[in-house]
Amino acid sequence: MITGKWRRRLAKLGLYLPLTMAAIAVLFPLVFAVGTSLTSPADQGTYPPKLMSWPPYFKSYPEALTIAPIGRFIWNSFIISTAVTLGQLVTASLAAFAFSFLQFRGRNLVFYIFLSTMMIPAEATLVPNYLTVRALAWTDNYLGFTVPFLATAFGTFLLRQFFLQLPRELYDAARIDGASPFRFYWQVVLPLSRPALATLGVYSFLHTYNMYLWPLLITNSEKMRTVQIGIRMLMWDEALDWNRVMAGVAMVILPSILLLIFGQKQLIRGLTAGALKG
Amino acid sequence: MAHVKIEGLNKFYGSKHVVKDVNLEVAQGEFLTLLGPSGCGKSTTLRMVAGFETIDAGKVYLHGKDISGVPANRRGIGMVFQSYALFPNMSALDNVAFGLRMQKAAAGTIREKSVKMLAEVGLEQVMEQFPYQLSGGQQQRVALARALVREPEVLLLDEPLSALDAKIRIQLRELIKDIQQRHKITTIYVTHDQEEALSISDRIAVMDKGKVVQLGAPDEIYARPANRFVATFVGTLNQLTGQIVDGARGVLDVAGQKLTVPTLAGKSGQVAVGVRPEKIRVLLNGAAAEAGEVALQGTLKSAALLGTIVRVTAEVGGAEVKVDVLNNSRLPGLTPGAQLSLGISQENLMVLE
Ligand SMILES: Nc1ncnc2c1ncn2[C@@H]1O[C@H](COP(=O)(O)OP(=O)(O)OP(=O)(O)O)[C@@H](O)[C@H]1O
Ligand SMILES: [Mg+2]
Repeated sequence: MITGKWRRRLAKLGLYLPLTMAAIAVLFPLVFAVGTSLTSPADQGTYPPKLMSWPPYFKSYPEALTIAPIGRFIWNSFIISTAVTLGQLVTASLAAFAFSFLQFRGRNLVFYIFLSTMMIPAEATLVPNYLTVRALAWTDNYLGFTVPFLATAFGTFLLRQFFLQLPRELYDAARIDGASPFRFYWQVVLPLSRPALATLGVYSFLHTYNMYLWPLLITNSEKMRTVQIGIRMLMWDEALDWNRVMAGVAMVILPSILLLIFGQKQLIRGLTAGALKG
Repeated sequence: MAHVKIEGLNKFYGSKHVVKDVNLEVAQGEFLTLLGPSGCGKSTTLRMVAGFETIDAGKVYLHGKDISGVPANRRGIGMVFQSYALFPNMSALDNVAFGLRMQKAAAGTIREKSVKMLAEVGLEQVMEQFPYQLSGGQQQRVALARALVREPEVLLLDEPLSALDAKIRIQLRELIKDIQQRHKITTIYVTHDQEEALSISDRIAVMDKGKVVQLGAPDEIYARPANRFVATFVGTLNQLTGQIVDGARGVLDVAGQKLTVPTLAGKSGQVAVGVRPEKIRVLLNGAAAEAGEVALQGTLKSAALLGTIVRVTAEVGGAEVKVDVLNNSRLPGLTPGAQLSLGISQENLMVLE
């Protein structure tokens, strides 16, 4: 006979066991990377393999920093990602506002055309974008990293879906009180959309931070390189020292992890908001 | 001159004609209600008066001035919405102050007026709270204060009470009426609740399928409905359907019982007459119908105590007839199955067409 108390415990186990396994699967690469970065070259390739040296081998970090200016790369990536994120938040929220609250001829048509650009694979736009950026002499320049990504159909779509859930009567109430559409956007829509804005913000930050092909294409000088390329630089070294590569990886992912930790609450609310209200 | 005049108003959604040639005049300080079933075009009409919806044909006048093309915020109109539509990220006070801020009034004035208005709706204690911290009734009071604080000439309310429970609904409708009279503000009120409309309005415009089918004072609408739709939609109505057997005198045969209804004289074929439950008498102890009354024989089905009144349901020739009698305990014990004689004054029988 299973009593209510035991049933609850079993239910909890059924919930937490898969969650724990999933957490281990997700965290293992991270633990492995940090462990490897703390392993001395001598301890590598031993059998059975070690997770890390004891005492930890911290020298990988300064060594990685001498091979590649990781700090400079993190700075570059950080500036670029921040600029792209802010830009996307501004353009996507304004466009989404227009598509959800303003009435104008052809609104839906324009929106679907906008949306259809999401179906064009990024690879297809790579060359034309490159030619444009080069013609503007924006290669090796923050402008080339940021301007092509300041507006996104995805972000507009995401925010529009959120805005459409806001009651239309709110807009009417603001208008009859004499608020301009922009005032309503600024004082009501944006404050109410923080979860969705955070979702888009985190998404676009990480996406930009992890870009590889585009930065590779448009940078020539080392000081303009971004983190993902920087890590490749550690790997191009003649002898592949995994401890240094992983030290670079550990330093590079730190900003993303901090962002996730601090943005977690808003992020989850943003992702589930539609499910709860819809 | 009418304060608000609505002339030949029409609205189409695609090919759907949702407001058909609505004409209304609302006098200064009058409380007019648009009453009708869901989907009949009440909100659409109101939203065209407010300026939220474009007008396909017709005009709206304020003090004789055509305001059809004037944006919502310059019409001198305040509005209360069914969903309250309070800004969730602002306190009650900030919600009320919002409109005054948009007018760029002085900070001191804004606060003073907003607080005074909130006090008038009985909310000075909770004005720093946010909408989610307030009950539905309180939220709608904030919305009322917000609509009135800019001292609009006309107040529009779109089903403001339909999301609230019965008790609060009655409290709040009394508050609305009270404030409306104190400010002598011209008001157009939308509801699908006939009881609410009857209790609160100076005049009622009953709408059906986009048209105003009757316009009049509540007692008029109730006592002399213009057609069968109004008769059944406003109040409770018993319908008796039968065959005219004597067209000259207006004698109707309802399942074998003969009723003489003078207003049916000259008619023939199948007709229906209606009568309100409170206009029917239960004839006790074999009492006969009086002069000018028709008598009906029926069987008692049930008697339900509704507080002040007892609703007696009888079966007459296969149809249900509801009778409301005052609950003053002079009724004998009513047992289902008992024979019941009912008396209806001829003038209370309405011909339905
Ligand atoms: N934006 C719109 N697009 C298309 N049809 C609409 C739109 N708004 C309303 N309608 C339709 O117009 C008709 C009238 O709507 P309206 O909202 O005026 O009715 P109502 O009398 O207020 O009803 P309720 O009591 O349900 O609020 C309805 O059939 C509705 O489906
Ligand atoms: Mg409505």
